[in-house]
Amino acid sequence: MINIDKGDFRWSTDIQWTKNKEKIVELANGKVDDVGNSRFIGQPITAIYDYQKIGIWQADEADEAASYSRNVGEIKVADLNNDGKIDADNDRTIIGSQIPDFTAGITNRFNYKNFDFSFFIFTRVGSTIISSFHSDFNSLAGRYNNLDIDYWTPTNPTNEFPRPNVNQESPLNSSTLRYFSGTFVKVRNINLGYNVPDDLTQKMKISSLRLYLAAQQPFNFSKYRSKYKGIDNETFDSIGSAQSYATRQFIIGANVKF
Amino acid sequence: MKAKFKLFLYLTLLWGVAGCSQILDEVPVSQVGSQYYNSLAGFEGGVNAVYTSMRSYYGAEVSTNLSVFGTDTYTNGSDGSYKYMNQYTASFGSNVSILTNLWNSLYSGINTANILIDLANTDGVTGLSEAAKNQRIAELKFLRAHAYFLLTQNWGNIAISVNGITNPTKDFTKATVAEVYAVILADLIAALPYLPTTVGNADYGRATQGACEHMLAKVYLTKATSEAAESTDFENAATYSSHVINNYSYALQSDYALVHDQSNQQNSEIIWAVQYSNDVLTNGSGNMTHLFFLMEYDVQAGMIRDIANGRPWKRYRPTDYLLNVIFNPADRSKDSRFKKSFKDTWLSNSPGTFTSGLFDNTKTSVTFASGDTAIYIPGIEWTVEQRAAKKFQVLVPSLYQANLYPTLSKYLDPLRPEIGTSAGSRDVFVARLADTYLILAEANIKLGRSQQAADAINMIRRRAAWSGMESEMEITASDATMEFLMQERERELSGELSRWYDLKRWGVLVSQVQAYNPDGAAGIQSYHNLRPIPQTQIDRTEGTSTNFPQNPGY
Repeated sequence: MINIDKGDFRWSTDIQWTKNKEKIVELANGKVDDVGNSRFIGQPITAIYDYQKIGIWQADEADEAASYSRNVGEIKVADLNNDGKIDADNDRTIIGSQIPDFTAGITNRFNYKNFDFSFFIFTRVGSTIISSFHSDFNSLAGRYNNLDIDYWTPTNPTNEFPRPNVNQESPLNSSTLRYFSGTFVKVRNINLGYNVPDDLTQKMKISSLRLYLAAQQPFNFSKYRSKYKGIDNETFDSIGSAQSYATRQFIIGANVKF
Repeated sequence: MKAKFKLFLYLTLLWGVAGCSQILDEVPVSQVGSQYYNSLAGFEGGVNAVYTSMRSYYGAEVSTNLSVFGTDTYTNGSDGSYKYMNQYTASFGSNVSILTNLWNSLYSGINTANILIDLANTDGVTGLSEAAKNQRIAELKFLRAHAYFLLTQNWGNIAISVNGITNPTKDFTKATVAEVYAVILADLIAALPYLPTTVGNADYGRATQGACEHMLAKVYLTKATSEAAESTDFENAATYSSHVINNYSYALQSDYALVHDQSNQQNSEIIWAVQYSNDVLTNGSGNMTHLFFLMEYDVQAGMIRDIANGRPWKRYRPTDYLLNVIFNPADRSKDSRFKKSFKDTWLSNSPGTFTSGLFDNTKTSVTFASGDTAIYIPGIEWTVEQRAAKKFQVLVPSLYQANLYPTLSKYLDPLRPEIGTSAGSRDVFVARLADTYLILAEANIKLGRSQQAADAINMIRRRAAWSGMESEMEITASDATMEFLMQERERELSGELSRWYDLKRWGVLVSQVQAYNPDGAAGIQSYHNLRPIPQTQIDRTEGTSTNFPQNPGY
């Protein structure tokens, strides 16, 4: 798509948008959910089935928490059928899947005389990822190094993460702390270039010279990074504790042709 | 151009066809098919694999978590992931990974046994003699019974299968405890005549008649107070345990300390043990129990971690009830078992002068040469003056804390090659003669035969006496009560994978934990007499919780 093409100035834009729909229609034994293998009719093959965290038990909810055998500061999971207890039969549900609502990208290119400038923004929206990185580095036991996250204390009544407890190496219902939105917006690259005019290159006895600045993945926006201290949630399935770092690359270059 | 392209296409197709036939010729050599069981070597390997399934319990952390934790005699130390198994909090539910792994391993072992029994019974093994066949089937039944016994004690109503499952299935239902005991007893009774009375050195660790009779006694004793109880159970327990004592050559070691001496593991008192070794190829995860009972000696003044003193994971801390009631200080001059069960002295292996981090608040500085006593646990309270007079730190009961407490020494493993090695080489004693005497005593008490009970108890109490104190250790028929036996069992078998099952068998699990386990008292309820069934089993059973319900309370 060309937005402007006027004299020395040209601006063009590429847009791409993708949506993938996926659901299980039928299994070997018919249109019946197979809980043991996490296969659910009407859901993607990667559906996540677990309890649903809805917050942290707060000080003024102590009695209600106790009725669920929970203490203030522990994870509050949804009692989906409201029967007054948390049980595997009735209170697990589909948390999400790896299938995003959509992915999209936009590339803009600008040319003015010998200068060119382009950038590419990419986004994925609506998937759920499993971050074992958080299971391993967010045990809230006090015995191991921990991610610097927003955890509950009597003076910080957050609903994000439970109260640290030296007597447990992972919190009750800790599996619910692994699920994060897979949504991100990334600036994949930015390029700025300058083509040295022909009369100058002829004097230098070369056929062409291009000078450029390039940035690879200079910006990476996601709640997973900013709020939950993850590294990079651009992954298909799960993020292990040995995840390699999301790199950012800046290049200053000269492209010379003889 | 077009002709060239066609030629290229044909060549590619031809090459593809040629490649295909080669792929079909491949023979996978890295996998063992089930036909391997039809050969003698394969069948013997399969039997060994069923023995190996016992290692998923004996020697693993789950065994002590299930038997030592959450009792009246041990509570949690400062470290570990499974304190909730001691505290009986809501975390102790259907997603406890070590319970899921144990459940899966035991059923996998059971199924291997089933397949091998089916195969041997249909003469499907080439070259297996009739005698060898009968013995191996008997061993497999012994092991299968053992697995079901562990499962039903922990989980109550469980799925039973005595035929091999070779195709995936989701059809499981729960059998009642009575049905499970019927399978266990049928297996043991069928196995008994075909088991050898003794095995040679090369076969040490295989099931014998003595091991089978010991187990029969234990099973009957346990069944006698279960929902499957029958009036003949105690009598059967007494009969089989006296067989073990009278009909074989087992004998108590002369000295209690010798029983757990690592250089004396295959001793006359051991009826059946799960084997570990110092061969890293076959030792697997090893016997890890040496890690769990130790206190944090290694950060104290004058001490660093070494192989002899062990790698302290500080999981299991003795309760006051164990240290002051069961091992009553007043009896320690007669009964040697406190001294011989707990480590009380640490010798400095990191000499120097230390002025900070001292737990013994009667001194501001300690100085040790190599080999000097650095820490001493007298086991009773000392006055401040008594403590101050010593050059070393004195750990008295009032100073015990979650990381400092008397350390059970039965599992210390100084033969490990490195400080950090967790895979220990000690065998796990599943049945030893002292336990047989105590089973006999318990059955006789229940049957009202106090004198026979006292006689059995006196056998182990005389052995436990300090030299010259034998007669003072003896008890009379009127002393032989259940109350006495409940304590005597722990004096003899403290830490030996027994206590939780004992308390459950006696029906006192909840009351004893409430009375004597400071960390478990608040959480325990009567439903904790059973463990939570792994959620994966429920989810993978046809009809899920309708057909395979979770145990109540979880």
